[in-house]
Amino acid sequence: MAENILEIDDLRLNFYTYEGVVEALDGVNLRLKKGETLGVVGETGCGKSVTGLSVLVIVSPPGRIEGGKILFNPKGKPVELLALNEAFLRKVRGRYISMIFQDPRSALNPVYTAGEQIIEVLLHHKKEELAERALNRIDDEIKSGKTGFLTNYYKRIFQHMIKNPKAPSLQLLSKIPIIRRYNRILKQEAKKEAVNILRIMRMPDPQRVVDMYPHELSGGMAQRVVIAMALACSPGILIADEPTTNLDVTVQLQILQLIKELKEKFASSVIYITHDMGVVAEMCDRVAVMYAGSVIEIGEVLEIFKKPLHPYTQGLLESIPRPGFPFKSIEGTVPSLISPPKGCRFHNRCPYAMDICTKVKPEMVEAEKGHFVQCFLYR
Amino acid sequence: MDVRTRLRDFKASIGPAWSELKFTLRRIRKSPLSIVGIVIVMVYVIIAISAPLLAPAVDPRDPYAIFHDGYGPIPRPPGSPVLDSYVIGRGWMAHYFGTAEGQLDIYYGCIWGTRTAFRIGVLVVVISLLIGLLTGCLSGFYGGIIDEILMRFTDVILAFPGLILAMALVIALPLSWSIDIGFLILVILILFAPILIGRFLKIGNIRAFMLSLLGLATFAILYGWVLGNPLIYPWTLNLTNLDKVLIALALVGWPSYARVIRGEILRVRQEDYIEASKAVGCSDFRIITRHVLPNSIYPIVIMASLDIGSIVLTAAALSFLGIGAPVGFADWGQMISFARNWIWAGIENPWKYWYTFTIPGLFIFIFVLGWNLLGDAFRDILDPTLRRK
Repeated sequence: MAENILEIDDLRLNFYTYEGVVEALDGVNLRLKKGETLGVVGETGCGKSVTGLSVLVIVSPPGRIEGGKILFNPKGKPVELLALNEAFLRKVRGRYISMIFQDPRSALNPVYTAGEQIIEVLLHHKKEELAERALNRIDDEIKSGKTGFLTNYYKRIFQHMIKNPKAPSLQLLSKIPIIRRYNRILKQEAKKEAVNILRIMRMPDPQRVVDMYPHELSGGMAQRVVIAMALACSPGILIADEPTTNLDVTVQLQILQLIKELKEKFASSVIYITHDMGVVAEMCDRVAVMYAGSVIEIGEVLEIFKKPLHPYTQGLLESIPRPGFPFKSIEGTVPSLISPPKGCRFHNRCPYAMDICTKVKPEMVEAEKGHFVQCFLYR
Repeated sequence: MDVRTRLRDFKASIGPAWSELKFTLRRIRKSPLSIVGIVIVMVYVIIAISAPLLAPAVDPRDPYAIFHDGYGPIPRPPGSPVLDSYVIGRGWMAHYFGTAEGQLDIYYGCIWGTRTAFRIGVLVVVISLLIGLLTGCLSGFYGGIIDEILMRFTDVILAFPGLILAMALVIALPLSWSIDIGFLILVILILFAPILIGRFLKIGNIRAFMLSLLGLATFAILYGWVLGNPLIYPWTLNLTNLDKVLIALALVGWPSYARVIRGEILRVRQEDYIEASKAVGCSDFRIITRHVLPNSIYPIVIMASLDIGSIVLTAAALSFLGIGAPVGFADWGQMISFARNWIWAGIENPWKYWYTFTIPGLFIFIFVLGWNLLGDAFRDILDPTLRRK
């Protein structure tokens, strides 16, 4: 059995609004194994996206993480993300854990070209590597006799940068005009790398696209750029927050295939947040079903589709529209999370509700091997 | 790389910016009003630059002092000959625009007053823009208690009528400040200490900042109370009356910028790309300077260009009230204040002294008009929602 790269334990998160405290996440437990794709499904407002943002610890106010643990374990050394300070988290974000957002158009800054935004990520996290490449290029130039009078200065700078990319002296130099011209070589290398990444994204004509502004890109192209930004540093975990919701169906398919392929190449594990059961069946190894702020069922995809255990999952699967069948939906509405129902949060919509459901929150039980469910029916 | 490939790379690198610039110029060419605005402002710039040629200084030590042609009280009409032999000796034969009360030459005052107008307009706008940008960014981006404190402070300033507050500040500001250079350097060092402290002690930025504030307070108490504020290397900053006007207007003008910037930043802060840049690992400073500001700066640029004109009006009002530039200083507002007694010249020929107030008034009017038109042009070409219409 593969080890867990991410463990979320009893994550609690509240939104402090004027209407009251919204208990958005009520003890989320998730395990992400190395190399797997975990689907997170659920209705709108059940806390899927917020779970994704919590992993990066970028929940913005009025949301606040109130408790729990997020253990990130890239290579045998678990790190508790919620206990890290901001400076350290900035090194993790984008480098080890990165995210794809729902609307590619608004996830790109309109005043910068696609290339500039990928370059930003590369310069932020992969300076050593770029410096090494720049150094190789300069060495080549020296060998072929093409030296300017600044070549030796550049060479020394890059040698220093490979040793310590965040050295205070370098940070000082990068603020002084003319002296910071060495950045240009670095940027040229980064641009080459950006074109390279876009080519891997199967972007048509990447040389031209790097110089295009987001409004010139189509939805599918923009999403490819966003994915390129997320995968630029080959992160350990990729969080995809409904990356295909705003795209049309044919492009959707291309993007899905792309993510699937790139997972093998760049990222080791993917958390795929969606409400589309079809996509889940296509993409994921395991699924976590969320309802009103907690994970109620986790299991292998086929397992869950074949034999859903939780009454909510059953309802969810039945409400997928199928030609020839009448529409079905789950009775009732999603409860308000300001004053959520006591006990199991699903009990007032549940056809099998029992007395105990209204009083106690059910524990997660392993109903079958590798198939966990949070319901009193399977005690 | 040889020169040719470098040139080609350079062309390719500035290609998109160049085509945008061409588009911008085409936009400007198409709207006649913005051309008028640009021409007006350019003419004023030329006047300001070539003031020594257009109006050779009578007193080279102080070219901003309008020269006297005697001290007679009654203004004389345009084209009157110069009587003072010293002034004739400096090359002045006639008063082109006439003289004001006290025989001050109106032409000279208007030409050199252009420089004063630019100095006041541009400096005041730049200073208040910087203050407004800093407060607006901090309160808009961080929100919460910082926002609350900074915005209530701007409310306090906004609550006063601007002109009255500016008058009070002009009167209250001292003419000279004395400060010890050593003290200044130490204060700056202590303010920059958090960066070093944070690095070496490996504590968070906020804690380091608190520590440095504590250090600053201790140092100030030590310096002021224990040592009795010794001026070891004193450095005295002498202000002219005009500088006082400048500072007062800047201190009064920044809250409106701060408000607008804050509003814009609140809008941009919600955008997905800000969240995305956080997810990539950008620092707050980088997010503000590289992602938030470029998307929220346009309204302020437009506001600033409109304000350069209106600041000159306010400064003229202060001068008219007699608390602006010193008497005899080349300043349009003061020229009009010289005309105060001569606006109505009696029943038989009421506009006998029209030139005393009309000519400086026209200078102010056209200057403000020029900046307003230029501001509109800026809006048309900078505002992305209007740009491609």
